[in-house]
Amino acid sequence: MIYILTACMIMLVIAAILVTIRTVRGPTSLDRMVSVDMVSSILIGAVALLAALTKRSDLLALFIVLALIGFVGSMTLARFITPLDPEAHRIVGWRAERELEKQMSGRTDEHAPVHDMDVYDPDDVDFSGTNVDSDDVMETGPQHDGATPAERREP
Amino acid sequence: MNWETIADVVGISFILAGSIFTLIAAIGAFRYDDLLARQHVATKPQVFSLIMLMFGVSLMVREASMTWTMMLVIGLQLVTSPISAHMMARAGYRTDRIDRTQLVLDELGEDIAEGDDLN
Repeated sequence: MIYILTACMIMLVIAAILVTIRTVRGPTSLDRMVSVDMVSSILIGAVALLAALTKRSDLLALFIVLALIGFVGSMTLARFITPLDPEAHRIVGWRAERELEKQMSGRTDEHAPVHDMDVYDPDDVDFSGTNVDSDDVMETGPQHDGATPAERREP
Repeated sequence: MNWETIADVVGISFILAGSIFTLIAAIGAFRYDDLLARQHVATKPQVFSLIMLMFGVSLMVREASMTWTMMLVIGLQLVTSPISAHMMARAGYRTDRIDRTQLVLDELGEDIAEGDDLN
């Protein structure tokens, strides 16, 4: 019995070494995360072997924790990974992209900036809910003396 | 030959099968050089070998708490493994970490092209 379990453990160790080499080599971070996932499930297997050998019941929490940790890691990486090409940050359809190209094609450096943060434009729509003309800028919320939206647009 | 010996033998053969499958999966993950191929070889036998190992341990230990924890681990792995594999593959596709010209069937690409047409 113990010889078979030892053989199983040796197989798991070889597997873990191979996957660790792949983790070091893996060209992208996604490859590495796949390998780390595999290492975590090999670890579950090794703890299971230990439980089978010693019949200890205090390893139960370890199984649950190991089963959950790998999932969280790979999920986080898959969610927050960025494209290799930094220009491709926004996902734009080809039609919208062509439109954008047409708008931007005539522009040179001599043109006025599209949006200058330093210039105060009173017509600018303010989404913050604060009235920048009021004395107390810390006071938030609509401050339009009970006027309806239509009245505010055309006083 | 009593039932305990039979359970032990069946359990240890399950554990042996699971370990061999883990080793095969590791060799595959080591040798393949494409993200999707590696994912394929990593997820499938990993789930299967984990189920094998858990059943084997349950049969060898023969305690109710251990058995139910093993069932819980199997359930968690069956729920989370496809989700994480799907999200990984999709993230790899959308961030150009996969060579799209090597794909035989590219349904996500077709869907993206269709969505672009509607745009």
